[in-house]
Amino acid sequence: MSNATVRTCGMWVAGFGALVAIAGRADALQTEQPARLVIRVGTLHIGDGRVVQNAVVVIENGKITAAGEGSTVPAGAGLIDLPEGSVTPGLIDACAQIETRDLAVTRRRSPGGPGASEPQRREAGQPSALALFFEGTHAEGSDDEDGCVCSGVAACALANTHENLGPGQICPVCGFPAAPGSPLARGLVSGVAGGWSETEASSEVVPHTRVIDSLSLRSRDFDRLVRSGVTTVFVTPDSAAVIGPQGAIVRTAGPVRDRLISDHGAVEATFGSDAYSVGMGNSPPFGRFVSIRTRRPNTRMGVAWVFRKAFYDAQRWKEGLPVGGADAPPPEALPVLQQIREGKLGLRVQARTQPDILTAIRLCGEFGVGFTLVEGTEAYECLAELKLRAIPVIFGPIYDEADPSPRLYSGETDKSRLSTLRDLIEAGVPTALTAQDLRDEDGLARQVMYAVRAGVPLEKAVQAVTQTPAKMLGIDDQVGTIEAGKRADLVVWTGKAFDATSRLVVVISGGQVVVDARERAAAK
Amino acid sequence: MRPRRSAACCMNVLCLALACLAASPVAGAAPPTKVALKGGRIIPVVGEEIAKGTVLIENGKITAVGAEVQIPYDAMEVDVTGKVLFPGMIDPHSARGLDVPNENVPVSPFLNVYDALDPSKLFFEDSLRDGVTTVHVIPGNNCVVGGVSRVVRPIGLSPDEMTVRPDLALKFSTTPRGGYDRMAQMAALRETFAELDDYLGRLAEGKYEESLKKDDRKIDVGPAEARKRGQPLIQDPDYDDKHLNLVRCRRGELAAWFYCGAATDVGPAIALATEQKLLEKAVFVLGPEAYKAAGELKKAKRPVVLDPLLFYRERDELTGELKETFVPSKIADAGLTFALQPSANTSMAERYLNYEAAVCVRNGLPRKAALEAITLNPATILGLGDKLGSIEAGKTANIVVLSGDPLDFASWVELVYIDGIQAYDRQKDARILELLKLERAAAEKAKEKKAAEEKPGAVVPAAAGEPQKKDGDEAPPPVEPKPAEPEPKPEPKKEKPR
Repeated sequence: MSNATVRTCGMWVAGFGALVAIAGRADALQTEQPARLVIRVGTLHIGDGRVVQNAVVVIENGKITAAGEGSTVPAGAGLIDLPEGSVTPGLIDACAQIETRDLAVTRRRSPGGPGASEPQRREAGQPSALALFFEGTHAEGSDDEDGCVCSGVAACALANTHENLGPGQICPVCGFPAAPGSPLARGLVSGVAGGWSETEASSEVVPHTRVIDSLSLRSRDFDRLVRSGVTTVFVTPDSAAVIGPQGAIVRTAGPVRDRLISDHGAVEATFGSDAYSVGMGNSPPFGRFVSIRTRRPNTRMGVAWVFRKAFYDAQRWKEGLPVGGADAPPPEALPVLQQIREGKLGLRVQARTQPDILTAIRLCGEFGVGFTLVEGTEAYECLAELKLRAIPVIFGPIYDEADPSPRLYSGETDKSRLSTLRDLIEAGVPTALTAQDLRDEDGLARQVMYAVRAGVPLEKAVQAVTQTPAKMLGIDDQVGTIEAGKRADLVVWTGKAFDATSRLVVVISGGQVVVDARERAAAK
Repeated sequence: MRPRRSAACCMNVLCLALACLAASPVAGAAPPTKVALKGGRIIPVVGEEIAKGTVLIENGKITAVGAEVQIPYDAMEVDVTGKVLFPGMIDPHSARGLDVPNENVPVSPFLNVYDALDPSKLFFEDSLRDGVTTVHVIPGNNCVVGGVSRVVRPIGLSPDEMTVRPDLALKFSTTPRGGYDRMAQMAALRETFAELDDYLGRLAEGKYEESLKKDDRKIDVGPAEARKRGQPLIQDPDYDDKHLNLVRCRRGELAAWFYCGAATDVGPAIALATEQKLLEKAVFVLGPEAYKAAGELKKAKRPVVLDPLLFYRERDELTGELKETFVPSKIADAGLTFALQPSANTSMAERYLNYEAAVCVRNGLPRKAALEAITLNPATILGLGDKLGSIEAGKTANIVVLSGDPLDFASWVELVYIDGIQAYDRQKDARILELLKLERAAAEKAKEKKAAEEKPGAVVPAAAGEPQKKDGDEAPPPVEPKPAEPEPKPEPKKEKPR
């Protein structure tokens, strides 16, 4: 980070603090919430692995002032009293993919009818428009009741994109290859990392760009996150570039001025096939000349080379040597890469398969760059290596191939195991759990449930969505645990936390009740 | 991902199927005729829970349930202390046992799932693993008239071995199939029955004429009268395949299952069922939005099967505000009998019927209603309420042994009994052991133990699960943690001059 940036940031933070105070007060007046709020529950999950029974949490001016065993409630305080219930810290997703555009509102007579946008369909849990459009065409081997297997060529003739695809290439619209008989699974691809990409496409090395600049803080994705108890997220860029943009750390709720925690989070790099198959794809359009949209690389070797060349060039730049060549990174990227090398800026590497994880370890080792492994589906195959080099992992989502469609487009045959999080935690690798693009019922809370089902002790699983990600993001002095002095980001449950039968009734962000489903829970 | 899955699965299915075969009565090796599952907590669904009791199975039937059950001396005793006994769950509506859910012919009442039932489908293996002991295999929703369904057990090597109840229902859909709009869909349905009436008339006329031929007489009455007179002369073999099943459906021999994907499809379905006198045995399979027609369904007094998607979310067209409705609550409020169905399309949680029931409890349904929606209600809807759906003396011995409460997501299906035969054992389920890497963990533990034994006095390695205090502590200020010791940069190798 240059001096100028540091200075700007410092000023920004100072101003930011003042604004928080004003905004916080204004909001409290608006909603007439008592200055002091007390939560009395049966179980308190502190977030660092400790549990307290029959506990009370006192919130004053947006901060937790006391948390621990007890039952006395100070006079004049608002009370959330759930003797059967529990409270956990607000959940933190260290690798959330945010739908950056607002979802368009369209008229829709019946579920699954034409007219709904893809994001809307995903939100409603409906099959995709393409799946519906071609519902009538059938081929052998479908496992899908309403949808069907159909030809990718036929499907995307609609979207007018398959004409550009060569054999074996992935269609950026439907996410499936052009080969006939490819499965057109429902839901197509979820999240930003789907067929569409938000990542700057002018180069494979764009660490100087920032996700925050294309992020809409009013995206409805944040509503969905906060409803499912997630109060802080690291907004990750998608995986379309070898060395992608810098992420951002934001709160999911509260006054807009209070939302941004960091606009220059870690840079996300990608190993594996995503880097050349997500977004526009790097293969030359079939039957056409190579255009501005055509990039290199096209293979894993190429991805590794672009990564290596970028850091090599950063070194040359530092030494004052000329930088050039076919895959040279843009000049703006060089200082940022150098910051990463000096440990001033974090680096994340998305890698799923064991070979890709090992490649990441090897390449980062070459340049002495530390990194955090993201997704790490096959991390259970490299426990020793991860532990040896103290590489933290942001693992997830957990899945068992029940619906591989969201990741099918990558063409990666990763071997997912339900027990990977358990293995990582048991091996002593600092591991956070992420739901990435999954939301609502399927969101981060359910990831915790999967983890517990696969044998992770509840407290460890809770830690993996609270304290551990907070530490990874460097914000554990503010959030991640329920302790006096911490920001009051809390989730209150009707019963045992993360139990299939208990419900998330209250979400508190900065002392403000942002979700309140108590009436609904009581009405039953 | 897919190819690997299918290959591995086929092997698994084969192994499982072979295991089942070994234990199945049709295969010869006689299973124990009397089995006593003792010491477990029994959730019978009908009647009170038993904290610690025994279920006695004789010849595939439950003969006794209670805290104190006299176990015959020749019964095989299975100790299930600490486990939970729950009735085998029932999947009320699935096309996933078929090779293809729907034929490309819109009106295909002549089809029977019997011909497409594929016992080697991973779906059946998964059903067993997830505690489902009965599956109603029925053509998919993408049809006008689908075909004839069948109730099966997820074990057996042929459709015959699997069958619990052949020819249960005929599938209809009032939701437009692919390429149709609602007008075309309803026109096709009406045409089906109009054509049936026409066919029956002509058939009767022909039969009457045929009967006259014996006496060398010619037809002597008008067509209407001839049809009337010929009607009683028709016998089942006279119907052709296309019309036989529609006739059986009208007679009540086949139930009529209507798929209604949206609320607007419910009214026409009820009207058609009433008009064609199918309502008495009609079941409505609802899409998520169809709950809005709960009033109409209430009047029809027929049971419903709900969509696996239990929430219906919609945005206000003008304000964009999100409205979320929990469908089972609306259906329960209307007093309808309902069954839940599992889904493989949404996620690996909705795949479990007991998880779906837990979601119902979370959203305010009574525990009893939620448990019934995955056991007794589907049994009743399938007309098998006297045989399945609860742990009661006299019922078929379809029992799931769970590691904990069925509504606890951390519970696993440990054992499955179908017709008193042990059809599944998690300890022998290679696929789940691999997914959870339990086998490897057990082997490693055994290896460590052996090593410790071989070296007396050697320090046994500390438990791997110990909390690591360093956990991310090394995070440097801006954002991401750095490794404690970055790898040294390898020296560039200099080429040696030759």
